[in-house]
Amino acid sequence: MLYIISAMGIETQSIIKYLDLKKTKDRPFETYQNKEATLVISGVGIINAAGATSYLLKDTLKGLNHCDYAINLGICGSLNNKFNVGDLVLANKVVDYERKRKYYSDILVKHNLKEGSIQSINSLNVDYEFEEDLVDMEASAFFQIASKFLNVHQIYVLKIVSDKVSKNKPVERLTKNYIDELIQGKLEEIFTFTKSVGSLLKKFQPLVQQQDEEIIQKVSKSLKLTFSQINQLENAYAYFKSNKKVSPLFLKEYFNYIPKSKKERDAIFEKLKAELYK
Amino acid sequence: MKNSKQNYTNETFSHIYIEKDALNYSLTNEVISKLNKSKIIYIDNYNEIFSRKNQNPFLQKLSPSLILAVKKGDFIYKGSNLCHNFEQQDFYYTNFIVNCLYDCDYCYLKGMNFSSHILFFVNLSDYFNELRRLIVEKGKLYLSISYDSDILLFDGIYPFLKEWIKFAKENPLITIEIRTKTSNYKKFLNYSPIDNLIITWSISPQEVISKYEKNTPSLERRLIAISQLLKKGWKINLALDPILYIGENWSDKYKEFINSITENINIKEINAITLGVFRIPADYLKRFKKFFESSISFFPYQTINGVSTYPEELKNEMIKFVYSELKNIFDKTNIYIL
Ligand code: SF4
Repeated sequence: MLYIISAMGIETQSIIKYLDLKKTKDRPFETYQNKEATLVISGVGIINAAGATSYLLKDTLKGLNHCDYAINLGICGSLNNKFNVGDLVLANKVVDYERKRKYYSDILVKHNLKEGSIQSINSLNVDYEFEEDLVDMEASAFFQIASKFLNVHQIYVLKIVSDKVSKNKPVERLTKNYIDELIQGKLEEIFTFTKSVGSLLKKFQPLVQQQDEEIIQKVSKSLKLTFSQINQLENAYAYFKSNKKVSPLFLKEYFNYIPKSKKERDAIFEKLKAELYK
Repeated sequence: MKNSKQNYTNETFSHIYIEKDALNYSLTNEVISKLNKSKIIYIDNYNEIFSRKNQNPFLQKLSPSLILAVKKGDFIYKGSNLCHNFEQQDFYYTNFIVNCLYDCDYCYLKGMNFSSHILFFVNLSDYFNELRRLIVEKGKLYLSISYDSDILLFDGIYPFLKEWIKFAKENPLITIEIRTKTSNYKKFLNYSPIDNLIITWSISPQEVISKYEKNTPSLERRLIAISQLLKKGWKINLALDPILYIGENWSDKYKEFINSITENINIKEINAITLGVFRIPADYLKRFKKFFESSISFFPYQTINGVSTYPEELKNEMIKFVYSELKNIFDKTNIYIL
């Protein structure tokens, strides 16, 4: 599942259309969804971003989450001349400017995007030092909270430069049309990137999958295995699968087998284990 | 695997993370000038990348980044009791490179480190200063310099070998050991052999190499490298370590393997041979199980005093067999068992 979090509705308008997402909730955050993606609109600023990220990702902790990835998508300001208005940038370093904390995506996937660093600030004045390439108000909070749910190769910040920030120039007000056009122009690039990430995560999943866990659970339940036996079964199961490159489907024979005594259970268990370690 | 890697993942060292302090070292410039296509990201401390808890070292192996850092604190460590000390009292090791581009399923680094990214410490001179001090204090030293990586893989971008050879020449009281699986012996031909630098070649049956030592050179290529350097007079050890249980006919495979060693090199010229079965701290094994998919991770090992290894009977049988084969062809006083 791809999780997208953006600060403002106008940043998501064309994304919702492009991905054909349907609105599923209004509160606590506006949420849009289809089978492959979920998007929330957080509102501007660090507190909103943290709250919405937590809201968005809380369910992923329940199941296997190796194929999930989260993206903070939106516009940002540019603090130097490395990037121009309209550039789409993948952040390789995200800095919480006030707290001086730093986060780094693990960019393992091949891509053609520009990369740069971004500092997230609390309020919109230009008293801060220009330490990184870009500036926004959400990325660091998003990253910090997403890190509690996902690994660093599953968390990305993608920003489109909407204006150049300068110390002696007041912050520009951007029109809705202007922002929408900026995003629209980058949709293809954004979703080529997300597709690559999704493919990488799908391709390299852990050895033991959900269906394997179900088999282990069912066998453990019908044979009434002890806690320690379940642990041993998990290990032996993984040994078999890693060695033979297929799941030990013969275990299904035991789905409905109810042993008559502990002695019989233990004997069956030993036999089954020997089979798995063969 | 190759195809999918090309499709999805970045090149090795597509990203270089550099500690700001490391910028003061000329070695840093040398490394980045050789990797001029990489993206550079500045960091304050290598642990910001290397020691993050929420990373996946299995996936990182597909596309490792490079981290350039300045080592602070301890430079030299007392050797672990899981390793051979060749009956040397003052047995130490050091690591100026951490992690490896080879991908051995049994590699303890996979259990020890949170990350598979490669870490270079660029302040070699600090290591040498500390060693000079230690030599004065201890008299004689035995120092392994490639515990936490196969360092020879990196000499092209991090030219450490000439520095260490120079140091060994100037300090005859230290014996330096480099442990490797490489087949690229040619870099040693630029130097004349010295008595206090030992190259230890890790070798395994070809079946083990193909199945469990991904990206490493074949046994044949390693043996060619060994024989070339033996001819030039280099001091070489062999490490048959870890010996792995590779199914019921493991002993036939190891017998065949020992035969192929004697067919390809003049084993009498080898300095010493070390033997040991696979063993690993139990905590590290836990991480193997979490991230890595090899059957090595899931064998029903026995854990005693926090170390997991084969059940006693199997372990003894394996060691006894390999030792008895070796002692027929090699001076047993120079065979070390752990
Ligand atoms: S060569 Fe050595 S350091 Fe490298 S992966 Fe193999 S065991 Fe680990």
